[in-house]
Amino acid sequence: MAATPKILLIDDEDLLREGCRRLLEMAGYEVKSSGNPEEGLRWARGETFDIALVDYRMPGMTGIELIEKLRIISPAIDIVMMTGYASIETAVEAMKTGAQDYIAKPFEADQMLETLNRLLKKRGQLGPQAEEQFTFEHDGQIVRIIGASPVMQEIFSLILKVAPTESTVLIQGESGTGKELIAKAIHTHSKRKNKPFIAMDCGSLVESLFESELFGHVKGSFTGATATKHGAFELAHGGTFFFDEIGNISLNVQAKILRAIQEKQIRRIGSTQTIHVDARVVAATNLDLQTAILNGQFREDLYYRLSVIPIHLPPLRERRQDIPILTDYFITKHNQRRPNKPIERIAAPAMDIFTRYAWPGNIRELENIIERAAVIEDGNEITLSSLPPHLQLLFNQPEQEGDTAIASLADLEKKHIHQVLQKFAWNISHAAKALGIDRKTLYDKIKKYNLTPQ
Amino acid sequence: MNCLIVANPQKPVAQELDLYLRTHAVDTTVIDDPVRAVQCAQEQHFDAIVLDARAHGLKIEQTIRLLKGCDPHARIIVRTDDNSRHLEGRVRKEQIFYYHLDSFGMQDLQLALSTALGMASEQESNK
Repeated sequence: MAATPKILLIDDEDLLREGCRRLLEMAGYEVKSSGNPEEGLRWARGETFDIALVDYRMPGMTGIELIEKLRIISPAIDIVMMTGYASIETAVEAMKTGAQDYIAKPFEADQMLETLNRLLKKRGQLGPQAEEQFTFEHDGQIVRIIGASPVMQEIFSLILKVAPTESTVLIQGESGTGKELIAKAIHTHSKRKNKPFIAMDCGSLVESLFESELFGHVKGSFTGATATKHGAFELAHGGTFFFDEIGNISLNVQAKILRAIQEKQIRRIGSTQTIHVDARVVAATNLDLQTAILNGQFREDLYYRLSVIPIHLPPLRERRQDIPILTDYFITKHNQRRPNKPIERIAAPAMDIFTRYAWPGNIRELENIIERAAVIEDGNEITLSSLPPHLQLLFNQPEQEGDTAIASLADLEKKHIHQVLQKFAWNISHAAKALGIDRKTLYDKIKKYNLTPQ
Repeated sequence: MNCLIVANPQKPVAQELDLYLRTHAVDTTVIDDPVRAVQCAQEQHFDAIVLDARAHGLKIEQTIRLLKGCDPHARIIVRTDDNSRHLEGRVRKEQIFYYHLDSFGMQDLQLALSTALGMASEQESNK
């Protein structure tokens, strides 16, 4: 098992240093941080660090002086200079003195983590893999799936098991649960990782355009490569094709997709020529496809072809233990984007509501609510008053106790959706907005719970 | 509704698109230079963006990434009058809304654009 990489963080700006420390610890690094360069040098004499992150301007010693001293004390350490005074001259000076990299403030969380990952790779070390998150690099960007709950840990293990196979995968889960991230994780851990990952939202285009986008098009009298649309599926050859919201595809196109998967062949619209395409298919839906089959809206043969490996992503309300770490993650993400107005904590009553609320819009809704609260909050704490009214309403309601947790949560969701619909006089658009879900999801829930205006 | 078109304003496709959008009461901004287009998108939200895949100044995938950095949900349509498998592959990796070949005619492009603007309008009414 690889040792956890150790980071020495020296920055005299308390808020930024604290934010960085939290970010790095959440990412799984072991961090020692100080605002005092002399203290940092003392630590470097006593123990071994892999990477030092040092500020450029500090009282008593410049970052350049600190780099020179660190180089003597700890020649093997990699150094990253951070500065709010970004200039080419400073970067060149830092590199000449012995810094391996340079990062200009303000920086995004991902920028920092990418820089560290790159340095660790050069050192032949692996980046940290914190238990509560599944981290990977997709298309040059760090992607994180957060989840310490047993169900998410099982999904992380499943990703590693199914990724190297060639099987099709069907990811089922409500809107906002992170289905596309799972698809990217499967691609990144597969043998196809160096080939394209092409995704298509199956619900966004009218059928004629969708088919042309998916399978390509040769139109009219135009011939030759410059007038041929190759289509998304063909361009995923050798890699992975991700059908997002596959439940929204017409029966006509479903038949063509089935053929593409079974025979590994497609035909562009307007062409008689068949083209061999070897793409691994991963699909996702927020619909119950078995019900769609019963209703004649989805082909049974395609369903079985897609769901060779089914992955069910639970809604957030079924993994409530992840809410505090997700909250912490989104606060840190917000702070990195807006370092001048950082949020340091969330008040206990607000967190209590977070852990009790049904989250119909799932993780996307949680992120939106944290972002909204952080923007409107005057202080450094997310309080009840910065939460949307429908969440504040929960404050005075006692925690519901049902016969079983699942039954009571479904009941809570039903009651809550009904309350919000009544409040907005059954204006679907307004109610969906207040609930943080799209109109289609709201219609599905109205149907599911058999809700009617009273 | 508003739309950003990144193309040479002198080219017929930009002029036709501009006219079509204006007759449908869509505010339209036509910019030749991708860098200036990104600067513009930093200052203003656009309901749909139409990019010339071969506009000079920035690589198309860089332009898409920068525009998505301004608005991760931006509906981006990429068009070209000279397609190649390589170009289409580079563009499709960036998860755009629609990829259009000029030789397929304006109607295709107008349909994709009206779908994108219709989705933006629905999203707006949900606010």
